[in-house]
Amino acid sequence: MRGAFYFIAAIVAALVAVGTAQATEIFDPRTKTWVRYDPNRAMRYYRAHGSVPGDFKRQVVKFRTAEKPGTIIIDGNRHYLYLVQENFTAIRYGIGVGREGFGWAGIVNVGRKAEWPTWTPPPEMVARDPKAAKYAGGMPGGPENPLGARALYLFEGNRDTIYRIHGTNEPWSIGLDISSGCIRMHNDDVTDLYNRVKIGAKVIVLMQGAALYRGV
Amino acid sequence: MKGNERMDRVLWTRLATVVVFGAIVAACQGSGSQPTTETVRATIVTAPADLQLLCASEAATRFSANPNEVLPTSSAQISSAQYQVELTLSPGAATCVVDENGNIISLVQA
Repeated sequence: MRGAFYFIAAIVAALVAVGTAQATEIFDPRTKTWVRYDPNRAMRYYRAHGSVPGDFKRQVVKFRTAEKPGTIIIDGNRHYLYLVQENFTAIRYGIGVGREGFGWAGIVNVGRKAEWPTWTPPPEMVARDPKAAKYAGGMPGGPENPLGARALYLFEGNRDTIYRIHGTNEPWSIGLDISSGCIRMHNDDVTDLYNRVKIGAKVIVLMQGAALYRGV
Repeated sequence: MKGNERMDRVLWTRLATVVVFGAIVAACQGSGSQPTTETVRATIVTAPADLQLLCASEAATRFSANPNEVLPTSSAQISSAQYQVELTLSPGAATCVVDENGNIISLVQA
């Protein structure tokens, strides 16, 4: 009897967890309904339109903040990266973020920048992903490299967090919870950001319910 | 003459009908919650990032905390125009309510 109770409780808990999981939805004007924006739909959308949905395209928006121009704000829940500008505005870019269990929040800084960076998967990724294991010694920069055209290396003080803001060889994945914790951007966008951001820039990462990194 | 007056009245009545009907249609379209083109949303409604950071900034000032150690950790819409933002401080925590115009409604240290 008690076993059945725990079984039912586990199913209810699982359903609640699924129901509250973070996700992106897209409005389909044809059916006039909101539909889940998952990797399959994102790929189909990108193939049909040659770009991500308009909300994820680079644009200047109103942004009321006391943070200094040049500060990066990442809203992981809404899949936006803001670069603070003068006069209460920001440049907003669409991003892909960590999938469930890989998201994080905190206050870090840009410790290093690189063009067409080499990708070296961390040991944990090598252990769990055979594709990553192939490049345990490092994958040279280029169009097939998952870090894309540019990378901004995020540090906590002087210590590398192992997280990066980087480009991607999967431009359709912007707007999704899909990475291992890195912030991915369209290659054109990350190049634009790279050219505007200085080493030492403050980066605030907001992500509801995620593990915390804190302290610049 | 009387015929012309009757014609004018009919025309004005028709014009008024068209204007009123058009206004009703415009109002219906303007008040709809569904967008007319592809757009995106998150399934969990959180406070806009700038409002979360306004709370963090205000908390750092009021509680004399290091601004680099005040971080919004969660938020939710609590009415059509207000959000509640949970903050972690070093040490401690705080709860902030902010409206969509950026006015801090309340800020309480836990």
